[in-house]
Amino acid sequence: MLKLRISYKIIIGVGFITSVAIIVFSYLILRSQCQGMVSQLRLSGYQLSETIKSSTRHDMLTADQENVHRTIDQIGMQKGINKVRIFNKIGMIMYSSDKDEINTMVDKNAEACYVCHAADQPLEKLSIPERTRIFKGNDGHRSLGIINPIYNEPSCWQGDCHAHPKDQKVLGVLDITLSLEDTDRLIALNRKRMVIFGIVVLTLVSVILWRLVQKLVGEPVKMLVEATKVIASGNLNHKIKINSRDELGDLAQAFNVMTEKLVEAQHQVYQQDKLASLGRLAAGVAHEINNPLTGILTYSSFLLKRSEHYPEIKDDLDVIVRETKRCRDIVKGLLDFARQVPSKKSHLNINDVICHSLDLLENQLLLHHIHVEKELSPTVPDIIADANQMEQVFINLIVNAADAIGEQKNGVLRIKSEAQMINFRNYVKIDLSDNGCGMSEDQLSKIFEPFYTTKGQKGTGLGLAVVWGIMEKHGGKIKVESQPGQGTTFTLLFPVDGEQSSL
Amino acid sequence: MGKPYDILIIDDEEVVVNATIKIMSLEGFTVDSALDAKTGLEKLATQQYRLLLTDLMLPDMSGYEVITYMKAKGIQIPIILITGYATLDNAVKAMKMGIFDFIPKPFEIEELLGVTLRAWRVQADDIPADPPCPSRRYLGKHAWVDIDSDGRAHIGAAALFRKTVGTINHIHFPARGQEVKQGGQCLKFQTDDTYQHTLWSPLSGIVIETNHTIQQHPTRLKDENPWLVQLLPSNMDAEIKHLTL
Repeated sequence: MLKLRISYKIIIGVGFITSVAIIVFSYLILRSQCQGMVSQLRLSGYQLSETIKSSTRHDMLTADQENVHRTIDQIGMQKGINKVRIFNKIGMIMYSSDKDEINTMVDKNAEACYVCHAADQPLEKLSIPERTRIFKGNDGHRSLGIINPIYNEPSCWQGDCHAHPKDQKVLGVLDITLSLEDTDRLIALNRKRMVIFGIVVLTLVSVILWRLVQKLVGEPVKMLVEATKVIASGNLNHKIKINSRDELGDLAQAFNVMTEKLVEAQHQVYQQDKLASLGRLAAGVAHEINNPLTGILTYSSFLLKRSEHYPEIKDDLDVIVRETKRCRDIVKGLLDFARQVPSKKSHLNINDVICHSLDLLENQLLLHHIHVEKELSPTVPDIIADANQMEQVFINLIVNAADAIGEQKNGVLRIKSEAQMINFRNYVKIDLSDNGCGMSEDQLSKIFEPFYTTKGQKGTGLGLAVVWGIMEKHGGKIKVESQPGQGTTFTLLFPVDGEQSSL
Repeated sequence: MGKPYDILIIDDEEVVVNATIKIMSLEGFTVDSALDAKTGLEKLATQQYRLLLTDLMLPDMSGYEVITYMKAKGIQIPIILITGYATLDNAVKAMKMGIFDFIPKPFEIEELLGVTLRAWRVQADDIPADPPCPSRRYLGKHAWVDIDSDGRAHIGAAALFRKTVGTINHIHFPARGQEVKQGGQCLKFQTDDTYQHTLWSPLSGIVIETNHTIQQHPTRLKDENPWLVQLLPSNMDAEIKHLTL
């Protein structure tokens, strides 16, 4: 299939319409111009014929043929006048500027006679346009012929020179032929001008259109195509720089937003995949590792039992047993993490979950002298979630906050819940902040990874990974902000009505 | 034929078998072994043992099939299932099938001897069954759970456990807020013979409260049958199917 650029398509389309318009317009103008000029000429021809009639009237009445001849000759010699002649009723040419024609007969079917003699009974009255005719002369140029009937009048039949019968209405015809050569030349010139004008306009319109289309469509589309290729090649950080405020600008913006979302989605899929494959791997490894671990643990503890009288070996064996048990606990934690418990979702009020979690950990909070500030909005809508898993989330976060506050005396845990609208979706937002030891940028980037812990041997490194997994399962989001020495804030977003999050 | 063995262990891991033989010798138990289920079942058919230890995942057969076989043959010796952590659900299922207890790998000497001695005592004492109670469900004959109307669960030890465990020195309770799994460790008992006994949780959930009285007076457990841990179950509907009335 022939590939046609949009610009060419538009130019061909617009060019076609423009040329049709120009052609029709020029045709109409030329035609009316032509008609105007011809009718002007007709009028002046008629006036001329009237002038001849009146100037020869006297000579006719006095039958001064010499004078009539002279007058007709003189007029016939003027530029633009081909012929002046008078023929009588039977068609004999009485006078003519062309001497050779005199006394010859005119065929009644000739173009000069035809108008009146077409019917059986010849017409006697004619309007001005009917008196004229346009025909092509022998010299190749067009000519305008005007006939002017010479009517009978009392002076004609009362004169004693030559008797015209009284009942004869038309005595003869004055016929003038004017050349249209000049007019035709003018019309041809105008036509040429129109064609040149048309070509110039068409070319101009095409060039301007081409530039416009290229600027407004071609270049942005090219950028979009290039950006698509860059993104397809894996560089998702590419941004399109189109600032125009038209549809293509909107498209570019939508494109940029799409790539941003793509990066986020990719990150999430990556994180999910990582956790899922880690779970499978953990289960497999743990199962395989259990048998050799059993060997080490049993043999070493067996040796330990028998070495009670050898304190120098006992201490070393103690270390082996202790460290093997640590291995066992790691494997156990890994398996607990890998074991997926299906969510049992129901409508619940997040404030109740928070209060319940705080109740459960009351002793621990008292022990750490942590003051709890609750700012729970009573109007938060219900969310659809697994109550136990939600409690697990809050318990984990609260225990972490308590650990971060540690021995500090003025520890404060602030929990705030509120309804929020983001991208036309309803969310419940929970902020959980402590004024504990906080975390560095580097630590923040790892806290949701399994087995990452800041608590040394006290933590399993699975708490936040579990929280992340639960939030993910509920279509929610968890974000964390922290400054070393200042404290940490976890922000949780739950979609209301269990809608899929679009953040 | 010499003196019959006390215990048969079926496990395809030689290191586990050898370790078990050594550990059992500490208490004077004699142990016969089989590295696959087929050999094990042959030995069970021809010889008398007083206790069976079997791995859940054997190369030619599962531990379930061994249990089913023994039931069919009418061999009524206590069975202790050796499991990995990955197979908690299987262990819970096996408890429903009537095994005495299970022990997850890797185990310590104190844990293995603890559970073995408990099983051994079953044969010596006549242990009365727990009285039936409509709100109470049992994990085998090991632990019970009472479910309140408000959804909280109280966990206690079944008669078989209480009567066989021996003299308790110390009970290790879970922390409040801690998560426990069905078939996972709920409480750990230290007895005066230095051995350890684990009470498996009948349900998964978050620990809300522990029984302080028993914490201070562990010996009361034996006669009073008190609740030990209060739990907020997390997956009760699915898990309760594995428990018996």
